[in-house]
Amino acid sequence: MLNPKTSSDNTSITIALAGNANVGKSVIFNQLTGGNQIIGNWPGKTVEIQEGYIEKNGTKIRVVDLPGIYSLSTYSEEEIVTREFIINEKPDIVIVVVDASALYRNLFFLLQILEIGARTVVALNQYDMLERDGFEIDVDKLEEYLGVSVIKTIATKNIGLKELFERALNEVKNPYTSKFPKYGKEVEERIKILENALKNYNFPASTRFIAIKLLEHDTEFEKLIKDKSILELRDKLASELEEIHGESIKTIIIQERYALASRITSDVLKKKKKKVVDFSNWIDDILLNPVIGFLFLMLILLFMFFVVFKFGSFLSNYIGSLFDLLKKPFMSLNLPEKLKVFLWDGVIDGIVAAFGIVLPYIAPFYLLLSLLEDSGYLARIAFLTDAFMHKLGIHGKAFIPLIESFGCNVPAIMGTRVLERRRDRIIVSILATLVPCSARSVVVFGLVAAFLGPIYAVLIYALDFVFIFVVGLLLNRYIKGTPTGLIMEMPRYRKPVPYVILKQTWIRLKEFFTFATPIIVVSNAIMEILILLNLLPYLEMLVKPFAYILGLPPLATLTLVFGALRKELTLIMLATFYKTTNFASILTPKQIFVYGFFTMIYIPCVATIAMLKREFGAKTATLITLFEFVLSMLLGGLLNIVLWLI
Amino acid sequence: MKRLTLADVEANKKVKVIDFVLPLHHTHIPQYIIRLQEMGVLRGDIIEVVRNSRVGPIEIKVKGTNLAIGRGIASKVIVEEIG
Repeated sequence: MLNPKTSSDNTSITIALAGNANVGKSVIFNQLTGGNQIIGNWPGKTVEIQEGYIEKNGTKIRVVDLPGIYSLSTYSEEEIVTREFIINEKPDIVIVVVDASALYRNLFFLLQILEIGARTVVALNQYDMLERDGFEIDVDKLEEYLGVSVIKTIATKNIGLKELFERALNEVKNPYTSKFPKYGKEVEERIKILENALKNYNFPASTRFIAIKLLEHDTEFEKLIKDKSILELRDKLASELEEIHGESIKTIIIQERYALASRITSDVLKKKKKKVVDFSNWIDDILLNPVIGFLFLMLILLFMFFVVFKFGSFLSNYIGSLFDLLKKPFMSLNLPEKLKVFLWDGVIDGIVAAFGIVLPYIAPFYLLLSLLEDSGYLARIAFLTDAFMHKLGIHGKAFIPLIESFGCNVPAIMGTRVLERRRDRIIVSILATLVPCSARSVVVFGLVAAFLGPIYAVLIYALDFVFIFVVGLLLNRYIKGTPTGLIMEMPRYRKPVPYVILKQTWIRLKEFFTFATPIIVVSNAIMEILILLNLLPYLEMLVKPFAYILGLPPLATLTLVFGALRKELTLIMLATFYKTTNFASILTPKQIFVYGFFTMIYIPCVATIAMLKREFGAKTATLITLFEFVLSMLLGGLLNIVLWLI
Repeated sequence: MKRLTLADVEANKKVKVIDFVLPLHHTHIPQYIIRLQEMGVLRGDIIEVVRNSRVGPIEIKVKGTNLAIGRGIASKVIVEEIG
């Protein structure tokens, strides 16, 4: 790491947006860049960075939205990425977005950005919230303390952003000397000594920042120091400070930053009038109540499924009928018959499946989920489910990818990135693949609910949830590592901003479009080739032992192989092979039940496996797949025997 | 005598942070305590407990913002009731 980039030429400017989570950074990013954005991955890290490009007076401006974080330590990959970006990519200016209504804690982060020595301007955002709390901030005084420009903004109403942007562009033209925050005397003295010892090094960040990071025992920066004696000097200085303050050195530095933040806050923050009643706390008395809150959560989730399935099946049928209209003219094209069948069933059908069968369900689902997220409710879900999730050795934030999974497992595995550690991410990803995605729900509705009755569909869901819980208990027990706890900011409820919701929806859907769709289309074509080459009878032979265990006809079992490509293919292939949609005539009620349950759990689909591979490597992805296959064969076999006995 | 921890404090009570319990055999402060401190829970701070339903996380108000803290971590924060 830490290779200084050659400085940018003068016709292009890079602006980086940094700040805590929930400060309105995304809104500012959107207002500044309009629609021209791309989302990319930071090399080697599971962190997404968004960029937007605009042009102003012939200058190309690149705006980078850094992840929302609370500190520049090494607690999460997001923190490491943020500081690596500021240090290595050397943005021309960093706009630190600060929540004016939470100035104290936001200053803690801002001071660390100033330590790096990057040119900085501050957006004092959500200023209306601060006023509603009955406060005002003396901006001139704050500028004096910080040494950088501070602009009041209300991003959601597009207030102050023009000025912020112009000020930022203006500052870029002027020379800049770093504005370092000054800490307590004992700490300052020792930072100076360490800085002096580092004089001969040439760092991409300020020497002062490196000195502080070394004092903090930051392992990433220790790697840069070849000279052992400097680290020994650091140890001596750190233990002197620990002696004086009676705290660990990491804690001392945190205290120093907060002490300065406290001094600044108490001087610039003025009580103006009485606080307007904050409804958040009042709403939370109800929504976080252990009984009512849970009931409400259940209602919200049920409502989401109801809306999504009503709307989704309508949309799905509609898109399906549109494609059916196209089939006739296509089939009358002057092409060889076999090629036409292959093109339609192998290529177009795959595209129809992605856009006509899966998308109609997951798009509205993620829209609603993003609405909940932007309103602040997802944090409440994490709060409510935390105690329960702890039984599985993970914390409340892990519940959110599990909800995402009901739409599609592929973005859900991406969504596990909200968790700090790999162990937790793997556990939650495994559980996520067992959550019935929209495709599997289609199967359960179309088969079990339609031919056995809705109550049996509910029973399958219930069995699946019990199964997920037991698997979670086992994973927690056998995957090494200590459980982590929840430390989460509780954002206030707020009126959702439409394009923030749309963007969140897009981020979730993007993985489906760019990652899952090509895999769906290709695997569909492979399936069609298998059929055209007449290889099915051989495959049917291969699945016979599994058919025996599950008590299913071999031909029906064969459809499960196709289900590994896309889960809803099980049902479609069942209809294709048996040339009927009256599944009661080909499977006994018991077989329908086993088939439905097995479809839910037996293996992640290829797109999900590919995502597991991308996030965790081939070995982990293979292990997870094998584990789930073996487990589901055992359970499916067991269910078969149990049903046979009764 | 069992010391009062943040996990034991009823809602709407104010407490002062006295210390952090280190897990057995730990000489270094565990990372979650550092994170808690970075989020603004430091020795000597006055914290208001906003919500504590005896199951699930504790919600506190510290430095003007609300934080949810898992029960396990909250039980590592030794506090003293004030006022």
